[in-house]
Amino acid sequence: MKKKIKYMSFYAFEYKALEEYLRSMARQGWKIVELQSVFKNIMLFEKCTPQDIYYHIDYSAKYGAIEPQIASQDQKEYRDFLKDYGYEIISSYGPLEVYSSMSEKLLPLREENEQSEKDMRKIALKECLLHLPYAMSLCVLIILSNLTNSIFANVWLFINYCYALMIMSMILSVFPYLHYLLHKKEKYDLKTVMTRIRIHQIILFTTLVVPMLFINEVLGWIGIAFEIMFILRKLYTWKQERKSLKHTR
Amino acid sequence: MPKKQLDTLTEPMYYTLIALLTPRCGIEITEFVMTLTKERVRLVPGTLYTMLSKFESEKMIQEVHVEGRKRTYVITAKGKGMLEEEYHRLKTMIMEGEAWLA
Repeated sequence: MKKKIKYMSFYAFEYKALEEYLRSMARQGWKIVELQSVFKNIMLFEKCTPQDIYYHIDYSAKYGAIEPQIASQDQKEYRDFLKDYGYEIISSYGPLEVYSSMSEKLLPLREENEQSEKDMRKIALKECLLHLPYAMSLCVLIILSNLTNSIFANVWLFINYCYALMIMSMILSVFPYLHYLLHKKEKYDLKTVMTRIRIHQIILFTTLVVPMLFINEVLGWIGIAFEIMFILRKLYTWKQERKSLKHTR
Repeated sequence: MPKKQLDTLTEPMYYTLIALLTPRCGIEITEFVMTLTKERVRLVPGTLYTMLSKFESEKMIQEVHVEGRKRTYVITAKGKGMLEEEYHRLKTMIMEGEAWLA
């Protein structure tokens, strides 16, 4: 079975865009089979015949923070409860749950009211804040590693650079949430969210490549080799995507 | 003094308790309320699930039957008392307003 991995981070308040994205992928012949996460969401798709699947995103407040890939007892009971209403669970990671249905005419999972807005804000804030302690501890590590005057000085340079990148990515993850807070009533459509994700990726990519060019060390060159491999892989997947798009048309 | 959350019942709460005068499971509650109110009150699964857990922890309803993944609930004496109290409160409100509005 042909598989495809997508690295994308959608925030809780962007759930409508995520539903639309998953549906458009199914129409192109890729259905989501699994959610994973390493700081950002990783979505695993599997090749299927192009079809119309309706996706529904839900956020569970009670989830296991230590093992987010394992559903808590409360989550399991909730899924059983939803089965009668025509919702099938696909995958979940932490608070994020993806359901599918073959019909559009289902009762919505939740009413859109002030309470659900409040819950959504709480979950999104939690998602953002989770990154900050990491960023802080990495800052401390950078300072500590610079104090160490040892033979690992050059290695430390590289490690510092990696830490800085991670800090950058974590801080970046807070900005969309701030935007949401300032424009609470705004609904994010797929186009806006995709632009946001692309900008996010470009910034990260630039910070990854440019400093690499100034590192005159072996590790730097290894990094560049990885970069080139990454670009080639990206180009290959884009080509594949275009091919599958043409095929569906 | 701040009001306790379940002092007065909201519309969905009121209808859920009425539905549970007979043992019913989740989807049956939704369908019953939709028919009773001619689709005016819509109990969506997410809201209903949270409400049932709250009622159960307050001992206003209890689980009577578990068949596979299907859980059936029924109202308890405490829940029935609160439902009747709400019914009388609403009736009083109607009567008090009648002279002025009818």
